[in-house]
Amino acid sequence: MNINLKQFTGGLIVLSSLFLASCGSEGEQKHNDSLEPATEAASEVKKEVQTFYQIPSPAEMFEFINNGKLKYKAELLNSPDNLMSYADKKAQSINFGVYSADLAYTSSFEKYQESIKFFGTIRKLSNDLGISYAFDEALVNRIQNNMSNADSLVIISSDSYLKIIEFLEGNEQGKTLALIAAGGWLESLYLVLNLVDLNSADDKMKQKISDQRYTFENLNLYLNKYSSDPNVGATLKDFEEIKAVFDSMAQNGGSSMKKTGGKRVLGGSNSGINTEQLNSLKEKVNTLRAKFVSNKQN
Amino acid sequence: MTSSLMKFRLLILVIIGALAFTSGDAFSQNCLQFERKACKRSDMDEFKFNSQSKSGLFGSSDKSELNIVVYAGQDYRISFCAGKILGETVAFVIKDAKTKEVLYDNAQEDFIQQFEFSCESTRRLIIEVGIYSPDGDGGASRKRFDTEASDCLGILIENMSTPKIGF
Repeated sequence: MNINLKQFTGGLIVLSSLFLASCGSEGEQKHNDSLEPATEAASEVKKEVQTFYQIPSPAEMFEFINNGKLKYKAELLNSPDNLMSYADKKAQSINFGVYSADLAYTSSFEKYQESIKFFGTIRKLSNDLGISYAFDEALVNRIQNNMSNADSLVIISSDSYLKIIEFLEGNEQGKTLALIAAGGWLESLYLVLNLVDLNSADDKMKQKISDQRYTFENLNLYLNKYSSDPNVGATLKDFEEIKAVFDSMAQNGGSSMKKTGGKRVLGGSNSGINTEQLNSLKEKVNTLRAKFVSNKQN
Repeated sequence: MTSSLMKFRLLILVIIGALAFTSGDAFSQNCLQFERKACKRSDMDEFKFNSQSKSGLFGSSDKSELNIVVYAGQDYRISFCAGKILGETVAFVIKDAKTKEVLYDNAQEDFIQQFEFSCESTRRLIIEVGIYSPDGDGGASRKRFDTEASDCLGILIENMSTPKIGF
């Protein structure tokens, strides 16, 4: 037995040495190999500049707008009961974004039970969309173990959203991601516009709402990128009236990057929005949001 | 017994070989979360990961533009990192998305790989990235390689509320 154990241990050492040696040469070989195919592949790659459009997550949008002044209104949220009516991919993708924004909203207000409900709804939708990868057992356990921890809940909901984005980007499902981002962006703005009294809102709040034009510009360009897809093309058209409101707003001037006290500061004039434009924006956003969550075609 | 041991050794070799092949393949093709693994995070806990961060497979002569939105009242820290095959140094230029005016070029500061600023006005910015090479032709596509190569490139964006100064 002792001899066998020695033989076995000796064999393992030899095998390990062989493995390590082969790993080194394999690594170098792989290094060389990886350069060769890359050479061929790269020569086929078009040398035009690739452009990407990033949209802040609903949680980041809320964090920017909400400085403790927004209230919690459960009646504004899209009921999980509507889930059954989302049978087509466009409605599923857009409402995945809508529910993700609702989850970001409920978790930021420490509404644990509601957050768990929205999380479950998003998980079901992810199954329908074939993107359930992000909702593995480890994530579900994290939620169950942190149900009473507001900070953790916000982090977990953001993490799951990011995992979905990364999964879709990694699998070249940009058109699905475009629809999810559209739903998330619209729901975030819908909540803000219906939580704020626009007629008495201070200039700072008006400016923050006005600033959403920038995220909209990225969203619009992102939708444009995938507009050959019928669902994305239709969604782009859905947003035309909202685009018209943003286009009617005063444009900002240029930007400056100056060093002040050793710190770089990005500045420039702000774009403006008047009460009439705010109310018009709210009307268009509410109309489109009603269309999306009810899943009516017109 | 000897025969059993040989079979056992062979089995271990096959398993190790399979593991090596799987991990090597995944690493070479996947840049998922590269920015989180390779780019240097801020030492300040207040800086939080921003979802506009991005990573991808990059060719040595490729040039990409990342359009992001930065919000007023926030401090941003943007870090860049590239895999060893690409030489690890990223050349970047930051532009105003509307006017295309160049607001910053890291060539001015010896190609530093982190950039921090306070944002007083919400803006759309374009981050133009390429790979640095000392014998290149300038701009964010400076790299000149004898052969084309590719590796991961990451842009890590972090943000926090701008600290209030004074009483």
